[in-house]
Amino acid sequence: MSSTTATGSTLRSLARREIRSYLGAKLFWFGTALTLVLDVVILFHLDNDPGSSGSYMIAPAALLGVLGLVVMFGLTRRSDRAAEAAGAVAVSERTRTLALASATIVPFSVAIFSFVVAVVALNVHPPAGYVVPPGISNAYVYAQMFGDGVMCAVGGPLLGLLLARYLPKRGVAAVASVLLVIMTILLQGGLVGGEQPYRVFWFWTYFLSQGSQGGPGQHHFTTHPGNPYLWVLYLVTLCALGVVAAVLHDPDSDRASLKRVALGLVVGAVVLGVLTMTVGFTESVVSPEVCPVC
Amino acid sequence: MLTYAARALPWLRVVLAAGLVLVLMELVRWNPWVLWPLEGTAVGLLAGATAWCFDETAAVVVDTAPRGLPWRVAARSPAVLLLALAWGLAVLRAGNGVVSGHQGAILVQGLVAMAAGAAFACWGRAHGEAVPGLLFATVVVPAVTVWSLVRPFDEHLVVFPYGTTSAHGWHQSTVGWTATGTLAVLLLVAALSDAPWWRLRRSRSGPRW
Repeated sequence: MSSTTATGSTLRSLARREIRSYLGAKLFWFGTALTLVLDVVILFHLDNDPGSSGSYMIAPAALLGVLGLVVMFGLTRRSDRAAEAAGAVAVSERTRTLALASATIVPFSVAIFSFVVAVVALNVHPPAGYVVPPGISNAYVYAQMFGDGVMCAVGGPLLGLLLARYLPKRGVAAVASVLLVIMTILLQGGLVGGEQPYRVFWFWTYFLSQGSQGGPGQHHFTTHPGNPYLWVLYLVTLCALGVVAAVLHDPDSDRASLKRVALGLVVGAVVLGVLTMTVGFTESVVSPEVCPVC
Repeated sequence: MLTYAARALPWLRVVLAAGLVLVLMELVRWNPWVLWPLEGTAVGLLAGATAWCFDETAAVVVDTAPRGLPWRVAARSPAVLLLALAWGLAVLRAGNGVVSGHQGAILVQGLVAMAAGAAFACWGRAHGEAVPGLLFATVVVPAVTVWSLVRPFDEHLVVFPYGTTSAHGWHQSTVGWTATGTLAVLLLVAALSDAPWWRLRRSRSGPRW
C-alpha cells in the first residue's frame, strides 16, 4: 500500500471521528436547536415579522458560526492534547488539521437546511413591499442570505481551527467570539459613516438592511454598496485560505508549496474583495416606504 | 489573605475584563439602537470573568491545605468587587436616557450574571474541580453574546430587553433575572457551607480528578 493511500485512509478515518466529535458538542446542539426553532418560526410566520425570512441569516451565522468557532477551537485543542499524550505520533498535524476542517460539513449541513427553509419561507410569505427596494432581485437577496448564513456557519469553525493552531491559549475562543461580534456590528454600513464600502472585506455584512438614520418608525430599508454574488466567492476563497493557513502551521508540511497556494489565495481574495466593492452595486438603493416595525 | 489575593488572582485578566466591559458599554452609549447587543456581551463577560476568578490551578495542593473554600472565596472577592464597580460605573455612565429609564434593570442583569458565575465556579470547586470557571467562561461568554445578538423568542422570553421592548417586557426580564440571582445565591451558599448531604454524596462518588 502506498503512503498516499495510507494517508487518505487515515484522513477519512480521522475525519469521521472529528465529525462524530463535532456532533457530540453540546454547544453545537444548543446553536442547532435554536436555529431550527427559528426556522420553524420563519416558515410558519409565527413572529408576524414581514422581513424575517430575508434577514434569517443572523441566526445560523451567530448560532452555528460564532459558537462553531468555540466548538472547533475546543476540538482542535483536544486533538493536540491527544497527539501530545501519544508521544511519537503516527498521524501528522497536517492530517489532523484536514480531518478537523472536514468536520465543518456538520454546521454546513445545518446551515444549508436553514437556508433552504428561509428561501421557501421567502417565497411562501414574500416580504412586505418596503423591505426590498425597487430594482433589487430575489437572487440578490438569496446571495446575501447564502453568504451571511451558510458561508459564515462554515467560516466560524474554520476561524476557530486557525486560532487554535496559532493562538492556543486559554480563553482565546471566548475573547475572539466577543471581538468578532463587536467588529461585525461596527461594519454594517452606515454606522461609522460613508457607507463603509470596505466593510465587504469583513466576514459578515449586510447588503440589504434597515438604514441607520432616524429613530424607531423612521427607518427605510436600503442596500449597502457591494456585490453580494462576488462576496460569496470572496468568502469561499477566505475559507480555503483558512484551511491552507491552518495546514501551513505543521512544520513537517510542504511549506514552500503551501505558501505559494496561500499567496495565490490571498491575491484572489483581495481581487474578489475589490471587485465586490466596485462591480455592479456601487450605490445604495433606498426603499421609498418607511418600515413601520423597525 | 491579602498576600493570597495578590498572588492567586488573575489580576491582569480581571482588569482586562473590567476594561472591556467599560468599552462595550461606552459603545452602547455611543449608538444604543445599533450596538445594544453589546450590553448582553458585557453581561456575559462579567459572568465569565467572575467565574474565572475562582479557578484554582494548583487545586491538588491547595485543597489539602487547612484553609477551606469559604476562606479562599473571601480572599478572591476583591476581584469580583472590581468587576462590580466597573459594571456600576458603566451603567451609571450610560445614563437613564440611553437605557430608557431602566438603569436598575440593567444593573441587576450584570450583578446576577456575576452571582451565577461565582455560584457555578464555587460549586465546581466544592466538587474538587480545579478550573470550572474556565469552562464556564468559554461557553457562557459566546453563548450569551450570541443570544443577545439573535434575541430569539424575544416576544415571549425577554432576556436582554431592548429600547423597543414594552414596560411589561422589562418587568418580565427583571423578574427572570432576580429569580436566577436568587437561585445563584442559594447555590453559592450551599457550595460554601459544605452541607452534610453534599459531603455524603461526594464521599460516595469518590474523588473527581
